[in-house]
Amino acid sequence: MPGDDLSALPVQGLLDELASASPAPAGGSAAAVVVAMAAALVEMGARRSPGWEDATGVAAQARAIRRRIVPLVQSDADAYAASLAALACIEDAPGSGRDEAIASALTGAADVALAIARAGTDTAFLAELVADRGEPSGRDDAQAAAVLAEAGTRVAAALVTANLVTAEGDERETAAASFARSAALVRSRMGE
Amino acid sequence: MDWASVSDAEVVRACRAGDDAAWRELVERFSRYVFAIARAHRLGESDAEDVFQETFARIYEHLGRLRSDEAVRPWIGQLTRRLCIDRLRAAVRDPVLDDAEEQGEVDRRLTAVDEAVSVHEALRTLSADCREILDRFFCRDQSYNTIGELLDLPPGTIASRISRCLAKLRQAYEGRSGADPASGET
Repeated sequence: MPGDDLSALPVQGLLDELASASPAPAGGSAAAVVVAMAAALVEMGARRSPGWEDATGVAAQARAIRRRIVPLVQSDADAYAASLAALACIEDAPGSGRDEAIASALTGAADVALAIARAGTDTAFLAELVADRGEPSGRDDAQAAAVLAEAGTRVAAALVTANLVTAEGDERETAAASFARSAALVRSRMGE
Repeated sequence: MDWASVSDAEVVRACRAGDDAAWRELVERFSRYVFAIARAHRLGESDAEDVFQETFARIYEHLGRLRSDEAVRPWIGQLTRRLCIDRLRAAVRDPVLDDAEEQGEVDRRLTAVDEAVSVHEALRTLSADCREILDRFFCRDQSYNTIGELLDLPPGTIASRISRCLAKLRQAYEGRSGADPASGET
């Protein structure tokens, strides 16, 4: 559903869009939604921890991450659709500079996926804080947030790699892998 | 003199005492605010420039009549708004002012401008470290990893540090945003 606003859809509508035969939205949009959900759970955990001096600030950071990532649900679908369209044109007319043209078509999608991975890692750090210092009753939800954040980060990092397949040594791929490792490390510190 | 740690009221008092540097600081401190109000009224660049000049001319002329030095910002805001409206009225009847919905939008923008300026002023009272970490996270969208590498701190510590700085910012904001515009005088 490129061009509209996926993030404004009810959950059922978003799932219908993901399930449709259309290639976009796809994994990147799903990862963005998952990370946004994780950030929302972190915000809830902080809000429900009135005795924690950092609670308000952590809630504000989680809210900032959520606001940052929600537009990426649509952005990823748009970038993916654009890269598919560009690839189709390029494949119809192969010639010199083809690899550069493909790389250019995919780089926009890589940027969006990298932003999702970055937000996912930050959300995992916040989830760990909430689990450690927030209300004990909120620990299970904080752990759920960390698992979701890690999953979204890993998906997004894999998409960065896939979109940069023709751009060897691109620092975005290294950054994405680093985000995925950080999110996994945080989640493992928190236990299952 | 490090003006960053000087309150608005102290700047006003220094201006009244004839301190040229204080006048420069007053203009520096409020110029964005005045322009932002002019933009919220959808004035063109030339009209906004005129309002800017006239606002500071009137501030210079009438600062001695300000009843509460602490209320200098709302006073400047009120003065700028009046000058913007005068400018719009002087033009060919502007439908913006005849349309209640449009006026409501202008009011909302002005409220947002006031809040933004209050936050900006509160930020000035924070330490440079706090300003930097808040800027990096909220304005530059940098990750905890990136900020942690730059500040040589573990990423997990960054979030806690940001929270402490936000608490200080809130304290400063609440201390500054309670001024009553009605306590000023033009």
